[in-house]
Amino acid sequence: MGGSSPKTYESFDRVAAQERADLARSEWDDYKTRFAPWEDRLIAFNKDPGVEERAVESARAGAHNQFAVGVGEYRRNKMRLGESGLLDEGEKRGLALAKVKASVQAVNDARAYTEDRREKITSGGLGTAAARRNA
Amino acid sequence: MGGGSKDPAPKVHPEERELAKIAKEQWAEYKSKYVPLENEWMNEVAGYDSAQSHERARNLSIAEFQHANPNRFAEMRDSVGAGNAYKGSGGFGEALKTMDNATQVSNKASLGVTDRYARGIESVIGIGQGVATEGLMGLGDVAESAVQGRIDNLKNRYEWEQGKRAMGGAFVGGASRYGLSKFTDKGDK
Repeated sequence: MGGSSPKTYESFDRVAAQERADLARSEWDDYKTRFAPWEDRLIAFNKDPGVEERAVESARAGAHNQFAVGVGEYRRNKMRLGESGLLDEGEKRGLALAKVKASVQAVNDARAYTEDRREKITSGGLGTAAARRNA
Repeated sequence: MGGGSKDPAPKVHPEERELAKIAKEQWAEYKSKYVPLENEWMNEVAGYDSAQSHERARNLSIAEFQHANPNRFAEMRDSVGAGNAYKGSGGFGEALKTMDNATQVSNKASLGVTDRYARGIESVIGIGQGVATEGLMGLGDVAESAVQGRIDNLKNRYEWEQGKRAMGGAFVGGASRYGLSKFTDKGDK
């Protein structure tokens, strides 16, 4: 009857361990529900060819708008001086050339920049990328 | 029978239970206090790439461009103001340069808006990873992303672009003056 071996105990408290496990589950569920979709969003963003298309389209539209505004201002200034508000042939040619050049540069920048951003995201984040670009 | 089971007995450890209880309370506090802020931040980031955001940034960059280059616009007006001499004064060329600069600056601003969106997504993911590994850490990331993202993507990039253009402008201006003086010399002869 006697002589039983000394009583041994588990190395941890089951109640506390269960509470910690429940907590870990709750945190993980929260991550999956609220944050994991953002990972998917970033991946989709980085793969989306529409990002570049929109940037290019926006660059073209921007050039068009800025030149329209600039020419309007130039013509108004001429008219204020009693000159004709119309552009002469030389000015029209110069304007067309400058507009195409500006648009091409803006579009090229948009393409290069978008590609650069894609690479930076893939290789680990824009924070350091922006710092490098602005250095 | 007398030996009984060899399984170890459950252990009661008050300190472990207290720590688990505290962790649970921290999680509850986090959910009530910080989760709403994070959700608000997520909603904000989701709208960063909207057409309105791009439009606002473009307009802002042009306003800043005009503010930073008042002389350029004044020069344009002055050169036009030379009356019949406006063609020879380079006023139209100056206007074209200004239009080109405005185009490039507003384009960079728009690209910066998309940058900010991507960085916003990354910051949300970063906060989430902080939730999984460090509990309450992460709100600092929200503030840093909101402020720093704006500064990096609009102001610094704009200034960087302006610096580059200022150098280009100085070169073009110098070259124009050089060309004009040559022209004048020939005319004098």
